[in-house]
Amino acid sequence: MQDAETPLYNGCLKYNKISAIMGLYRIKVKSGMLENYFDQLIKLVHDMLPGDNVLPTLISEVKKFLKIFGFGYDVIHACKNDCILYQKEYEDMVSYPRCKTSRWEKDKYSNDVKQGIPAKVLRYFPIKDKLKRMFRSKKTAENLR
Amino acid sequence: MNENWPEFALEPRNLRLGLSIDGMNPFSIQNISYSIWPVLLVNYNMSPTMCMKEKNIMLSLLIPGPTAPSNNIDVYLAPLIDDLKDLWSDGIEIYDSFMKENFTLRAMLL
Repeated sequence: MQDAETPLYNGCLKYNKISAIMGLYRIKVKSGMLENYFDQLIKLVHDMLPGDNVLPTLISEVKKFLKIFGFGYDVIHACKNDCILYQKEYEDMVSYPRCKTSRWEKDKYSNDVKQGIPAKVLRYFPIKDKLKRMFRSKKTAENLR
Repeated sequence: MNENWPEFALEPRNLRLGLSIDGMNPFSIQNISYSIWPVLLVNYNMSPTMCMKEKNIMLSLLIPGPTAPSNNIDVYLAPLIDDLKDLWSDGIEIYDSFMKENFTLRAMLL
């Protein structure tokens, strides 16, 4: 958390790490920019700033950083035939005993099981974090009354 | 609604949510047989003009394809329902920056 408040570079008064990243990421999301292009953009901005700046150079680092503030999502593996989600008591299983389908993806040609690549993934955006963020904003909190 | 749960109605910040689901095709005509199912939450606390605006609708689940989940959809809704149950029975401690105070937020699904 304290890491977010550090100035963008030594002596920068206008931007800190979080405001710089949020400003750039906002443009990416609003314009529907491809991740590849965003990668190139932040690399260039990083290069333009003084050498000691704290701007990440990869989009994966940006995403990891934003996850601290609840902007991430949970990845939950699912059974290919919609039987169960691999969470709670099924967390560590590799196949669901009743339908015997593997949790992992199969190779299209050789039919080998690709260890570690899930066949189906459910993405869950935790609503509790979202609600917390909603009430953090003064304007939105006023509208919710 | 307010008569049935007076203690819920007492706190004007308690949320009333609506749930909507529909299939859509993310690949347009490149692969017309694929369908992904977003699950959206609508916040009825806001004024009717605002609550249906794109920025105020919350995406809470993304159910992958290639086919629609049809009857098995409850399997996928489980994580969301768990959280909603928590929000209904116990509520969560939240900081409100308009009133500048902590309070217990509860939510119901209409």
